[in-house]
Amino acid sequence: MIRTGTIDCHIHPTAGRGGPPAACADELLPFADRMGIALMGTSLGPTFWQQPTREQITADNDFNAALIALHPDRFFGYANLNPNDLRFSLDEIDRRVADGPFVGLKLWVAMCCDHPNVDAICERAAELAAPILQHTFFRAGGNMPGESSPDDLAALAARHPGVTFIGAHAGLDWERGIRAVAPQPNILVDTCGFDPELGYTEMAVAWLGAARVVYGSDAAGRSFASQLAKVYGADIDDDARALILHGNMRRVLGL
Amino acid sequence: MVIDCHVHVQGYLGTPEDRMGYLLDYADRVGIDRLCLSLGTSRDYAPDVDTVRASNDMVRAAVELHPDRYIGFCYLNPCYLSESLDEIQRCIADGPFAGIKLWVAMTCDQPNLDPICERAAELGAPILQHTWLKITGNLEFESTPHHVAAIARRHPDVNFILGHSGGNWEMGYRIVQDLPNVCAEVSGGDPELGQTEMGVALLGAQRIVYGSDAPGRSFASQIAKVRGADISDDQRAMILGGNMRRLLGL
Repeated sequence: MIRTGTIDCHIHPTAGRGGPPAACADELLPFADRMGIALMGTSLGPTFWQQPTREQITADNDFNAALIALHPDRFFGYANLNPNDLRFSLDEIDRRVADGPFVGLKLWVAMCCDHPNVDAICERAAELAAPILQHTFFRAGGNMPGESSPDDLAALAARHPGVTFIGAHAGLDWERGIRAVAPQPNILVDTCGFDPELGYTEMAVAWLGAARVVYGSDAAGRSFASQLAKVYGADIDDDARALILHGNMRRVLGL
Repeated sequence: MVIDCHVHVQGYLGTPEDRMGYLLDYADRVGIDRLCLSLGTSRDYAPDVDTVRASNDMVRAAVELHPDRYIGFCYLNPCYLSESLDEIQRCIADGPFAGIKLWVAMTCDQPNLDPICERAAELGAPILQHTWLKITGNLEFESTPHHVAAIARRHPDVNFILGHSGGNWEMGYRIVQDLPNVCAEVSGGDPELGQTEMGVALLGAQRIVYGSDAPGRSFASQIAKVRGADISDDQRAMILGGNMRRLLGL
């Protein structure tokens, strides 16, 4: 009953207890195999830097490049950027995406995505057809400085209709997040970040359509199994489930 | 074969027949073959005799409608002892029920439970006992794993299933650890890392059983605890169905 061939659009290389990329892969892959996860999109690094320096960005992207080199059939990468450092970000896109092997960009909490610096990044992403995985939260106590909400992502996506965005965590407060991004057809939402609550996947499919929902776990910080439960257990048809588990990411990645 | 040892009657949307069919649709999606069913649609903490009988009749109807999928667990309120023994006769001895379900009407360490356990031993019927360790205090007659340990010690020939593993499973497992006739069931909380692994480490895989508490909890979120656990495939197979087959003689 485990569905094989699943693509997880959102993981981080935090397995391996601080060891090298090989240790990370050796710990993570048995869990992925158990849950039928064929391919994983990795970003950030073993430590999460809220305001990463050039050296930290380089180290993170080197780590994931090494992971991909070890297991090119299991991992793909999103280049980690800090948009406050725009020049370095654009150079890093060239180094990591234009020259490979990364296929997308990851933006976390260094700068709110509704900032002009991110526009320049999006223009380059459009040229390279690189999807952008953007962390989004609606925190009850207010977001962190630089942390994007689904509203911020919707504003950015409206300015860049040629870029595909994945709204990570659907804003966490997904009843609001799904509605915030609904008007922008170039935003997909992933499934990770909260306990497997009844109705999340169903609401996302009802508001956005199954073509705009993608499975992601946020492993290793969250488990594949608990996040996958949102898709396995959802009251949707099997065609919709297949889109969420792999079909949509195949389209986004051009596989 | 995947067996969910802890499922309740669905109480809304459509006819009773529709509801039990919906539940099977959800079970099919997650790959569950057999479902141990108990309680009716009443959530009376201290049901009277008529309510208990009506609850078991709802379960019986579901079992008769889908005999290849549902397995009946006979609900009892042990406060009514002679009626409980009659109900065991009506539902289990005369068929088709296979086990006993006890909820929160009486803590399970009480003397009324002894005749019930003796009858369960004669019939080979496992007892699924709800347990919780609530930090705000349990309901007045709600059992903890300590109560299950007490009754299980008096009745080594009865198999007990520790419903929810006490909720606080880190404590629940340790409370029943030395009692080989107690299996711990995984439903109740969010799919936390380490629950199944700790159960296997402390009790052994042969004493952990998958249950969901559906439809109040989802099959998918609860089975994730077992499917995602860092245990061997043989251990997983025991937890997902092998152990319940042993307990039920399937």
